[in-house]
Amino acid sequence: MNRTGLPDWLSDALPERAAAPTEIAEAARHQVETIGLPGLRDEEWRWTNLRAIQRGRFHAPSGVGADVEPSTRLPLDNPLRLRFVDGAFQGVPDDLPEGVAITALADADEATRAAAFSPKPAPSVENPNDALVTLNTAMAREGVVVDVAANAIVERPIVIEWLDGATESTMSHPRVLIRLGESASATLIEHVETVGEKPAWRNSVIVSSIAANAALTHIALGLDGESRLSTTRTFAALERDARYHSHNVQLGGRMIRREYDVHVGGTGAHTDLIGLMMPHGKQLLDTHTRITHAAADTTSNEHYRTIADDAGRGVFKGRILIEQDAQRIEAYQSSNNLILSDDAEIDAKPELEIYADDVSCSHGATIGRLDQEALFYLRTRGIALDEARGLLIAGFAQEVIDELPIPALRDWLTTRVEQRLNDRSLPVDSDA
Amino acid sequence: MALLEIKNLHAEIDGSEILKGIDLTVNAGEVHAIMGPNGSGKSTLCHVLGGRDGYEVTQGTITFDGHDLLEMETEERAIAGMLLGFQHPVEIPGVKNIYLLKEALNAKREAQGLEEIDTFTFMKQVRELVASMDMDDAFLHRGVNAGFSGGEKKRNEILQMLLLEPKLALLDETDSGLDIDALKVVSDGINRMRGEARGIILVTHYQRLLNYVEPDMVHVLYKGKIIKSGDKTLAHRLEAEGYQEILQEAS
Amino acid sequence: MTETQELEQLVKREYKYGFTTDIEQEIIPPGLDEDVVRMISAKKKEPEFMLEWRLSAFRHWQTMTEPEWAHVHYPRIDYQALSYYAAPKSQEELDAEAPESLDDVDPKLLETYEKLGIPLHERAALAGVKGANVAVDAVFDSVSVTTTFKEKLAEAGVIFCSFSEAVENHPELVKKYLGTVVPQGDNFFAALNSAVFSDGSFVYVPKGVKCPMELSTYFRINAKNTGQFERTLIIAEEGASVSYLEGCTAPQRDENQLHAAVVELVALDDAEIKYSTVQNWYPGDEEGKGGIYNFVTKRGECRGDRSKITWTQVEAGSAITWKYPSCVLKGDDSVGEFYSVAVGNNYQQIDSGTKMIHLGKRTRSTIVSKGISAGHAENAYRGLVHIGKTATDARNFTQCDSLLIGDRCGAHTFPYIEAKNASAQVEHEATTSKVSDDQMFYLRSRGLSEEDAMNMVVSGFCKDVFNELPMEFAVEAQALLAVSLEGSVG
Repeated sequence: MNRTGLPDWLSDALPERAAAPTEIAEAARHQVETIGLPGLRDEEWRWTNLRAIQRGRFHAPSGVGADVEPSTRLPLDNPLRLRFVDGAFQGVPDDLPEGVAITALADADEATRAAAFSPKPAPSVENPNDALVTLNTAMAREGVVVDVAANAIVERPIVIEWLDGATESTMSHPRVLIRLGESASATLIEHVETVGEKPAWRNSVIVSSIAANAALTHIALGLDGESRLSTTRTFAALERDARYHSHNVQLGGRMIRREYDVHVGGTGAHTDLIGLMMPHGKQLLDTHTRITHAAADTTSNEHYRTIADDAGRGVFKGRILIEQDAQRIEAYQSSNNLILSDDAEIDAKPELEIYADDVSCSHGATIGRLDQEALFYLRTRGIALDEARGLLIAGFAQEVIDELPIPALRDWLTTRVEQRLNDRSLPVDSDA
Repeated sequence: MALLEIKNLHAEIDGSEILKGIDLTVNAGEVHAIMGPNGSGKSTLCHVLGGRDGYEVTQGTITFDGHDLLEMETEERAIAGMLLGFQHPVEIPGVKNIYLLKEALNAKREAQGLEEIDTFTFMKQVRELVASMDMDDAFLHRGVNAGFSGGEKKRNEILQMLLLEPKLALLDETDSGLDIDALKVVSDGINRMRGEARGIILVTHYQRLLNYVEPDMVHVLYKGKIIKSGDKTLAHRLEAEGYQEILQEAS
Repeated sequence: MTETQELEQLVKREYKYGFTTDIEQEIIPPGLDEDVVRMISAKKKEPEFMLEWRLSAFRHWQTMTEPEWAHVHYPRIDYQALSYYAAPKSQEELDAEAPESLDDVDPKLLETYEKLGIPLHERAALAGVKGANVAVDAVFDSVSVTTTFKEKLAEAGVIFCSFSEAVENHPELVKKYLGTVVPQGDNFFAALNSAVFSDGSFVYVPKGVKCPMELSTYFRINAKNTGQFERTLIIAEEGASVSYLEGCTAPQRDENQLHAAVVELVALDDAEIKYSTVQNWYPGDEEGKGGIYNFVTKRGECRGDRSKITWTQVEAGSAITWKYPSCVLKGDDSVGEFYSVAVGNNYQQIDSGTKMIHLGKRTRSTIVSKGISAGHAENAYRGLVHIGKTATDARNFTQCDSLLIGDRCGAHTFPYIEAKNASAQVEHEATTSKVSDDQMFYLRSRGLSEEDAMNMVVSGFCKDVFNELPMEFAVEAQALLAVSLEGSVG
């Protein structure tokens, strides 16, 4: 099979020493050098090409950025901020709530670092589809470890601020480990912003392990920023009765590829994956999810929506995998998409891969224009066509926003999306 | 010989005992009503008689028309002449009603050593029955119970009973959720089935059905046991006084 | 059920068509190079253009690698160990003079077809319930043996003959259309077929003609260690319509056999082609030994406005099935349909589905796929719905359901949806479930045996697809389904 070789600048940047334990890092390094980056012939990458990265000649950040601040303030109550500027961790805050321990990855002990680099399900180092995780393993030096003690209910949201592009053409490969003890609960928010106008590439990995009966809410907010390139992977491993709630909102970036791997490994565990992507301009927003039901009596619910405008492209792939002997599974997935312009494109691939028989699984995918009858109805009520269209598009997005668990964030995002739709310069498709 | 004889029947689901020693004898020509509050074991009794998986009979015997019922598979029971009318008939999309009716009838005929029924006779008979149940012919060509209203599903159960002419009809809450017109149609169907050679067991939650189908015997099932049996006046008492009074009297 | 009964049931479940026919055959030695391609072409006395076409396909094939993306697993095929041509000996004579009547055909062959239940004799066909209006072309291993009803079709102007005859008698049509839907280098197996195909069926329905009867081909693999590479080309001119049926069987053999066919359909303005398949190649035994590798490329092009192509398939046989009958909807207002039942038992593997490529305006497509998995079978639906930039107001509806029988099988759904037009409307729904205990209990309480109850539920599950089959095929499909699933309950 055709492989895209590793560009020289990337090969040259492979570090002698990484944060991963030596054996793991060396294996990864070896694989990266043999496999290179994924190409369009690799099944998981048929709709997303990495040319912008290959041609980018990115280099490691030079260590500036202590004074960089995000321009957007999220309406959060006393958040616990973990800031990364161009992938460099800016230090552990001092006012940690009870039950929360935070360590810079570089300072973590060997066992912890091994955990950070051994996600479940293990990515296949031989599979080109997993090449970017392997690259992160080979490259990662920066990162953070968040530990939430058993029974701790952490009210303060833990916010990871990814501030990318502070210096020109930087690349970063940070790694985050978050572990929740039994019956603990916490909220992790990724606040992603481009702080400069120069292209930057972040290839980050978050590994989370959620112990029995614990619950992790993970919100990713990718805000505007034309130059950002990011390839990210999130692993979530759930034990018995654990819950993982993911909300993935992507509003900007030049090429954003997010991958979620959720391993529902304990009886009674449940996961929700909710997403909204709104590519416009020439953006490519891509989310791949994979839910593995590895234990009986587990459930999952996935709901993704994409609104593609201008020459924007939205890509969604969701795989539900039910392992043999994982009986009595209920899994539901839907992918609904709107195309607002003839230059926009939507690609969707909802997959079911099922090896157990006592299951109830369904998925649905739609691509469609606005409901003509609803448009007509609104107009008979005296609402102008453009406004009626705007209402329907906003309503389409709102159904996903409404699922966010933090009310203030919901309202903030609603306003943000409305602004975005109001700013549209082109009329919505040519119907009616 | 009794048509159905249940002796000291104990049954459990997932290790918890639901039926705790039921004795019941139904002779040909009789109509029995079994009443009881929710959770008393009515549906469990029906499922055990129907041979549903997941119910374990731990003690007791059931004799049906001279056969040891507990040794028989579900379909053998049906072929031997028992018909279970479901409380919630399942939907089977894609399988036409008419097809099920014919298959079921032929399965029975085959066991009796008869030839398959010829299509003409069959259709004639079915059409008459459909009309008698105040149903439309189109219903025959819809999927079994698929998209049927609650009332239609129950009429369908009675229609099957009329066609298959069982020796024992065991109707599990066939009257629940019916409006009065449907109830009359269903009752009428049941009354037509009454006869010398046939036993009928009505399992019901409401005395209302018994205004239309007069039972020979009424039994009160409570916590897995028949705590009181009597003639139809027992049903009237239940209606007037409620279960509480009877329960106290029995204990 | 007792163990003995279970065993009995296993033993009972045999492949009905697993006999071989003992007739003298001419098989060329295994191996594939340009000389073999030349030899095949020479044996068929083909004109120069065909040889050139084959050779260019062969050269392309040599540069290609076998695809790996499908959800199927099998040991590497040694393409040099296969023989690329097998014909009944009498073919030499047949070539010299195409059979005027059935009397010219080897009686043993006729016997084979009789065993298969094909109404080959016109009289037999007439005696059949619905068969009276079916013209049959029979392909035995690589070579087309006989085509019935030729005269009646000729009256209507319809050409229905073996591919070899078409090359000989209608080279201009072959030249014009061959490879225009499935190009030589389309994929690995199509390229291989283009180089070595030996025969197949050819149908041409002229302008405005509604083909007066169903056309039918029965394919049969008989020889050992041979690959079967047939090629079918159907052309419906403006306003023409035709319904074509295809049935397939093979003898029971321990080793795997390769079948790599190519089917091309061309529908011009207002034309309609309905292509129905009941595929019952030998699936291997209950341990997964033997069986056909069925790697087939089928594609239809709605080239004209308002044209329509319908694929209906019942896939019950083969050890491995790899096929995606597709529609390229070029003409405005053209329609593509795909109705499929794919059933896998024991160790069968299926990766099948369709592609609907919308290019014309207001093009519409419908996909209904029903997958049934039992035993250790793996059954994957793979489909692509592509709405191109030019396909204004295109619509697709896809319904894709899987039914699981037993807990050691797999059911998978891999749909690809691509839309590049704001007016596109695509709807995809998929479900996976098992036959519910409630349904089984209900039917058994009505006196049906477990096996009959299962068959009834499964037939109901497949009904939307069976409804699309011509009557006589629907009956066959239903029976085939029951045979395929025998021994899977209990």
